[in-house]
Amino acid sequence: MGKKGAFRLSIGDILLYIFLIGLAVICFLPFYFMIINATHDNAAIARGMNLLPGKYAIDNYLKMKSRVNIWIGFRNSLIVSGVGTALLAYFGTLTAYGFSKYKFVGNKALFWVILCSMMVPPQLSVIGFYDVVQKLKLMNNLLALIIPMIASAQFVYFVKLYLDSALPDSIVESARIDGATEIGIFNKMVLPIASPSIATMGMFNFINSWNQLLIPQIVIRDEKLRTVPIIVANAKGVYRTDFAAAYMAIALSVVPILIAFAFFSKYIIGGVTAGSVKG
Amino acid sequence: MFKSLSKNDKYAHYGYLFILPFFIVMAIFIVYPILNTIYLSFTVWEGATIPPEWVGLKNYRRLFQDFLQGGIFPQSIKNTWILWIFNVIPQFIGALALAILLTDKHNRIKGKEGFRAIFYLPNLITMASVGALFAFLLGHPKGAVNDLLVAFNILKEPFNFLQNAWATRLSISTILTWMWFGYTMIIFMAGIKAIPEELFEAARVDGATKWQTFKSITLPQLRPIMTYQVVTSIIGGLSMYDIPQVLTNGTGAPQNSVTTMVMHIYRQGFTNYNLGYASAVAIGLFVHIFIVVFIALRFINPKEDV
Amino acid sequence: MNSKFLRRAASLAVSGLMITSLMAGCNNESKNPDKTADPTQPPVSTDAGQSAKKPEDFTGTLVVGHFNDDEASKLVAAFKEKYPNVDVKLEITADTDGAYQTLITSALRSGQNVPDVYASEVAFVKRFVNLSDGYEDLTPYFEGDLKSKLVPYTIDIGTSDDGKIRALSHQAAAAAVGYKRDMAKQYLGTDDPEEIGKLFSSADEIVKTGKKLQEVSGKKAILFPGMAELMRMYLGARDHAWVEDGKLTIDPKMEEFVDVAKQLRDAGAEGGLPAWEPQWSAAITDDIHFAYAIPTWGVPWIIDANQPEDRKNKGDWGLAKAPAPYTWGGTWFGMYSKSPNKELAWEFIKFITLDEEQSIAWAKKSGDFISNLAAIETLSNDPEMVSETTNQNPYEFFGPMIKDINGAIITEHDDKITNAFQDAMLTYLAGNTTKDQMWAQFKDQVRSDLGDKVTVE
Repeated sequence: MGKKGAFRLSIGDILLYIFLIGLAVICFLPFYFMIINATHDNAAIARGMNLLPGKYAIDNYLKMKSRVNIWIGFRNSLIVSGVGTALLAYFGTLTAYGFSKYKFVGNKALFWVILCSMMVPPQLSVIGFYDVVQKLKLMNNLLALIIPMIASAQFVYFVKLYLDSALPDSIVESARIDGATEIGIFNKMVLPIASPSIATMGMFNFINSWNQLLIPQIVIRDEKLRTVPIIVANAKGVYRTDFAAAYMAIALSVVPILIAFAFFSKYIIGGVTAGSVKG
Repeated sequence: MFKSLSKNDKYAHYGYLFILPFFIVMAIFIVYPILNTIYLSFTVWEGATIPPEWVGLKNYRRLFQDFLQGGIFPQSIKNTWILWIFNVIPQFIGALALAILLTDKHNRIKGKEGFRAIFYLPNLITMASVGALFAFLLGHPKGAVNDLLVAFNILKEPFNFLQNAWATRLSISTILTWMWFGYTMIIFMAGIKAIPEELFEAARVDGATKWQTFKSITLPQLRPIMTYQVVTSIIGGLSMYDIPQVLTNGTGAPQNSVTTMVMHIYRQGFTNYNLGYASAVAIGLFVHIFIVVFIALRFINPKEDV
Repeated sequence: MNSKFLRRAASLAVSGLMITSLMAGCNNESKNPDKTADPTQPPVSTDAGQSAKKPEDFTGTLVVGHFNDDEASKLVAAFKEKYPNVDVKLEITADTDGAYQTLITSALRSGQNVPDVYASEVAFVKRFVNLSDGYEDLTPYFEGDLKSKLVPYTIDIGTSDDGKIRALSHQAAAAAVGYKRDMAKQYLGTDDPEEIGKLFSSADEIVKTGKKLQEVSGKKAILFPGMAELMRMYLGARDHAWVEDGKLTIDPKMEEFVDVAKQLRDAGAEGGLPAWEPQWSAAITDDIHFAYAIPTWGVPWIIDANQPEDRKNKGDWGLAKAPAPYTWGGTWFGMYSKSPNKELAWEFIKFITLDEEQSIAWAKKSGDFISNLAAIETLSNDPEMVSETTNQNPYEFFGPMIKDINGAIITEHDDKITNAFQDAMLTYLAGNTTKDQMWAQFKDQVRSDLGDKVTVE
């Protein structure tokens, strides 16, 4: 180890590469199977593991399309996850900043309230959630999916953590001395500094909201407002025999997330363009 | 320098203002449903047109009895913990090791960005799809894994994974580790990137070994991130639902060996329509999670706060 | 090598792989749902007792809720042809993880957004029928004895515990043994439905047949692909329901089933494939698994759906009588008790069930087995109805036995109890528990699920 030549790899390095590449293959394999299965017919899928693409891609796509409209799903999911994440990025960071830099009474207690809200499993909350959405007359409305996204405890926790170490009090102080307004400080200084953490958690949140099924299913009745997971659930057909169409739907539903990931990936912490945080 | 940001901070009210939007949304969409669940835990209710009937502590008494008699509730606690421990330990160790590897500027691994991206891929698919995929792979007598094992002569006969309690459990833990290690790795990488470069430089100059660097610089500096990750992992692990639910079709088979606490809640609430009892179990789960998180925090951060 | 390039490449590779896979095949098959033309002016042959209002006179909006898009949209289309001035809004939510049930339950609870007419599958119809303010009592809407007009067991299932008929089904899901004719000829010497029926007529015969198949085929031919096939048949053969007088009741037939299932599994005559999984579906086309539990809807949806194009409609399946007539599946329709559109709702329900013209048209168009007794009578003599898949006329075959199906043994807890039973059985059959342990596990699960509604000893 420690050889200077750029083309000399030690045994350790080679083993490491093998391990990393092996791991990468394991990560990618199920995607591969999914995509391959989406190009086969039901009989081939049931027969076992198929390693190469089949000829039924167009066929499956048409079958799926005749049953569900995945493009509407893309549009709706994009609206919900996109707008929701954007709102979260702003208000969530605002909240994190509030907890991080303002020493108001009850700061710690309220933060624990946020933590505790994460500890109650969401399944039964569906009942109360439904009642609320009904009373607010937001049934069958994408807003019922978007607005709750602002209240992501995980996002606030992480960004607060980041701000605690990345945003020294001194910066805030000097900005105040320079005459900046509080909200101005937030918009012009805090947001940029927090951006790697916002991008990281924002991406997770986008993906998580994209894959949500339980809540959208009970709130959205209108066919035209369905999100992608609802569509994928319907693609199998009631008799659950159309695996090919289902795989096609799943495979297609992953593409936008991959695109979002590729996009966000640049900005998240540890990304090439994002600067590392000063201590 | 810090005097102006003390308790009598004249900017304190801005703090309230800034957190207000979040709390309003949270109060409406999260806190109210939780309060509703607490209320329901004191009732018997089928979730339909007949209103809930107040029964006081009856559900909690039943929960307690079930706990003492070794019924499904304590079984589900045990299952949830098993699934979580066998997932979180390899996941954290692996993720930490990989994070260090991929953030180290001084090794010659190329394509770090690519690896980071690929390792995160498993987190992108929905749990439902993952569950369905693995149910298919682990099928008996014919399934991809069995076919492979028999073809390579590792086994003479296909193994009934999903009828064997430990095989099912370990399969689920493995699936979970596979799904989450990329995410955990990215979080750790965030934490490592935040460590000032000077500390590492100083260590190198002093001739510290990799292990010493890790123990004395990396680990302590990672404490906040580690805390975050431990807390979220505890909460996520103890609320585990989707994968075992889809893999076993809600049955927790075989013999309820993978029925998690939330699966139990779901089954009681939405399959059996015992919503009052399900709510009581949910509150029981909350208390459980709270205690574990509290202990974990005290352990990791003996003096500091969250 | 630039790491940024690698990262981009990773995402592009995935997308690229997909696109090339999509273009790799040029299969230009398209599926055309067949549409038979309806007669232009159907005579007003609606059920007696209504005002002399013609279908065209009905106006307004009807909201119909369903979980099966295929079935619902076709039924609604047929309805709209006859009632052109009624606007029908269809709301479909798939019942994945019980989402449809949760939706309807939540809507009922709040009293808002409940569809005027909503469907229920057999697994949960009894619950909604028994739910107060769920389904409206239909007695004021019809005259005479419905059991003489529709298949009786469907009326039983749609009747609430207080004796009121609240939901009707347009289908009758009678079921029998579906078998592969080629395998029958090869291993059993005949493919005649009567003869095959004899081989399934009793527990002993079934076990004998299973063993014989294994012997004659050199351990290749397997009688049933999974345990559920025979279980469904036995469930129908019971005299007692799972719950009687509030107590869990285990009919002797189920005890018999446990023994038979174990014998079959041990003899290699049952393949251990879970129903609805890809392998089970694929086993339809292989030459290994011999017989399936096939209900009336099973011919299009279990057999046909899983056969490749070149094997469809070749008459290579047959229907034989099961040990006792049994039923599997089915969808019921009822109207919301507080619906503002009850008149319209009744028209819809009446149309799909009691209208003989519609029933016949529906049977021909959808391949469904309808519940209208008069239509069944007509169709059993109609050569058009001979199925190309089985070379038998299902109406001729099922017609006689349909009145014998016992609808009284269905309770609202059946689904949960049967699931608990199945779980315990699968572990027992895998050899991991003894029979006593199996029963104990079953009872424990039922106790946990239904403890406060059902006494378990």
